[in-house]
Amino acid sequence: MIVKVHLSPSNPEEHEPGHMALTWHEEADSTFRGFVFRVEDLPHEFQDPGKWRDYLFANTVLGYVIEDIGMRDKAERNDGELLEHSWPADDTQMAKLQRICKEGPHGTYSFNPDDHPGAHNCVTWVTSSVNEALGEVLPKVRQGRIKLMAEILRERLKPSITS
Amino acid sequence: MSKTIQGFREKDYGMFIDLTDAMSSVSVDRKTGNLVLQEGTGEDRFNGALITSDFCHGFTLSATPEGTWVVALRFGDLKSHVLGTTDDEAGALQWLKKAWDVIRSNQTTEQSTEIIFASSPASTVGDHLLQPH
Repeated sequence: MIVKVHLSPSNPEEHEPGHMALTWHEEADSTFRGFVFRVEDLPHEFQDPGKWRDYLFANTVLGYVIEDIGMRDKAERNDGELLEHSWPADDTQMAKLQRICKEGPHGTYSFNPDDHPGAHNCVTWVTSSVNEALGEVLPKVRQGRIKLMAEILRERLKPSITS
Repeated sequence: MSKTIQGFREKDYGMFIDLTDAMSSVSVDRKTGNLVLQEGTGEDRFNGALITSDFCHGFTLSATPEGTWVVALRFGDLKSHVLGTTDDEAGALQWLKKAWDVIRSNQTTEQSTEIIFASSPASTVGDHLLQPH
């Protein structure tokens, strides 16, 4: 089977946040998993599009593993936006990955995960999950910054295997 | 940066709103009824944000003086978040009704608020109920 990471790059000049998720492919079916936070877990006064970032840079909330249909949609459009890399995985590794990536609550979420032990953002969750299942295949980046992971996927990990 | 809606889409696993500068800015998972917002650049946008079906109270579709329509999500303690602006009133209404059916069918708690509102571009009396649930 094939395990793949997908990264929608950030745009630093416009503070575009970007996103990262992972996929595994079994026969004709694909499963996409991403890591997010719930707006309802933010304090009431931070459930506002102008304030939520400030809270998540300084604090944590519960994190959630979801079926990432947004990333699936982007991957299916195949418009060249996504950076990708893939690895082969044996049955033991896949079983481990599927256990790690079970949908539901999973630890905590922060935009500065390095400052909060056990916390992740989408980048560090993907990195941690893939590395736990497959070995240390994906380098960690400071605070899970999208632009740093994008540099790695662009430069250090090519070429990707073909799924 | 204004949030201009490029289009409303459906797939077998989800429903999507595309902004001109952020594709799949809104995703509604047909299996769970949960929304994820990946709205891209701007202070008025959420990213990586999950809004569960139980936390959703509906959508509003409101006319602007320019003749366009503002699509907003109502959630939590009567908060309203603008998802974007469109000139496709019919397309918006159709998508919102379907999306709300998906969300409502997955809710585990009773929602007391009305769901979809709309106002005529010529109306000066504010929103009126279009389709109560």
